[in-house]
Amino acid sequence: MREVVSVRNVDFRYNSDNVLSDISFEVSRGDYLGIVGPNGSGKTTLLKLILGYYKPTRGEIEVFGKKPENLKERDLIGYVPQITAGKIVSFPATAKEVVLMGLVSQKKFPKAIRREDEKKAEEILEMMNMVDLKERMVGELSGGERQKILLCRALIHDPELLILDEPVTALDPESRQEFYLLLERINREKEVTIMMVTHDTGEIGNYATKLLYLDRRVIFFGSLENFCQSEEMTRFFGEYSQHIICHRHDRRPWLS
Amino acid sequence: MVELIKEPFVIRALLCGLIISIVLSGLGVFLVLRRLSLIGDGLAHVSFGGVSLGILLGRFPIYVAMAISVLTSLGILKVKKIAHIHSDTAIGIVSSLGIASGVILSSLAGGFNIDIFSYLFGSILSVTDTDILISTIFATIFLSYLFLFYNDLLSTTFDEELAYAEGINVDRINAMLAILTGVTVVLGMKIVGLLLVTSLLILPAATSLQISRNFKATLFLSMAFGALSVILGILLSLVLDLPSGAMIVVVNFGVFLLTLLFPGGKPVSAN
Repeated sequence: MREVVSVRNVDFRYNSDNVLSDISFEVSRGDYLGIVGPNGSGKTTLLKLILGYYKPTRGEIEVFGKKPENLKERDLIGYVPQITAGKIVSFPATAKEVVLMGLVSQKKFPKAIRREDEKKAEEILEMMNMVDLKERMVGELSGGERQKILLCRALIHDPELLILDEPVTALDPESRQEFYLLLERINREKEVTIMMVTHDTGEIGNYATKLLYLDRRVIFFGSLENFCQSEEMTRFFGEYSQHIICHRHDRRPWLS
Repeated sequence: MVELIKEPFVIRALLCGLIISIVLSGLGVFLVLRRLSLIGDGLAHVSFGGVSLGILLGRFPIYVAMAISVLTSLGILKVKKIAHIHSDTAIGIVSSLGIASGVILSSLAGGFNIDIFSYLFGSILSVTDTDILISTIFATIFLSYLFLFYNDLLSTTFDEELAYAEGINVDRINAMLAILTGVTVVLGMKIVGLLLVTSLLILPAATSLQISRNFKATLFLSMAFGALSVILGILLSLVLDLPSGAMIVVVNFGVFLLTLLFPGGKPVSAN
């Protein structure tokens, strides 16, 4: 199984604060990793380290076998950041313009957007049932619709690794289910590796195959089955919290 | 009025104003959306120091100001990145330092004189053929940059972190934007003066943002509003015998007020 992300003994300090200590884990092709943990546990920082936005104070990170800052094949990664609603609301771009931004880095100079690119953007929007909104300005969309637009932007260049930072926060329960099922389909059918930071512990257990519980250090990393069967984790989290993650809900039939 | 327009100094002022306004109002869209609206003010204040230094040295005040403005613009970018401070704080720091050094240097140069005032408030009478040539060359560089890097600029302005994650050379795009801003602010002082140059960066962009329905339209409309305001402002200043820089700002603000009357122009979140 091909290694997609490898994090070895990583520390990250910000000023004098130890944000992350001795983080080690590996993500293989086709994994669906849920990253959970309390606020301030370093989840978003970890994603930014993997993306090369920050450099580790100690340790090594490899993405597709290369240091993140040296990874030229950036189209292998699709990234959906935490939604910055304030800025996006006032940004004068249409939904389609935002989706097309996802193609910019892989295009050759002078990076002109062509008719086939626009067609591809429309196909992705169609897949998300968003094509009717393509000419709407992003500020006129709801939080959930904006989140889907950012997912379309991440998917338009056919990434092999999809990194998502709390993507379902702005979604209502129905859109949330729809979003999870879509990710699951992308993960299974296209074997896209998924790493998702989420606070939605009630749902992540339904979809993720692996779990990383972070609290500035790795509390747990492994398969969901191991997490659910681990007595150590029961002692650490308590039965109730473990049950929230491990309990599998019935999926709504009309969505699946 | 028609006779006045035929005067060579008016033609030079209109031409130079038109060229510079297109560049300033185009750049303004990116700066306003990046929450860097006041960088023009900061750079203008620093340029005041540069102009004063040039006058003190008795050599090329505009080019001294341009060099200092570009270095400061790049410095703001660097400080913002390294020191993790907000851009308004970085701009505030250089802005006050610029004014302070300007006051000290102009005092050493023999106090405030007519030269300094023409840089502070603009002087369309002083626009030379060389100014037009430099502005044209610079506008060509700016428009080429815009054409060649449009999508990188758009993506970086939308979200720097996301653009970086997708492989865009964010540092290079930002550095180029900083250099262009540093030069344009100084070029703009001939037309509206250092104290009012920010208006040409902010007002056309803010006006355009009220009514545009996509990014390209925002950019083109901003340039159009900037050009319209400068032409109208200069002509009105000649007719009414009022300072041209101030008239350009008044016209700019008038256009901004007009666009506020457009119903539903500004996007409203569906949340």
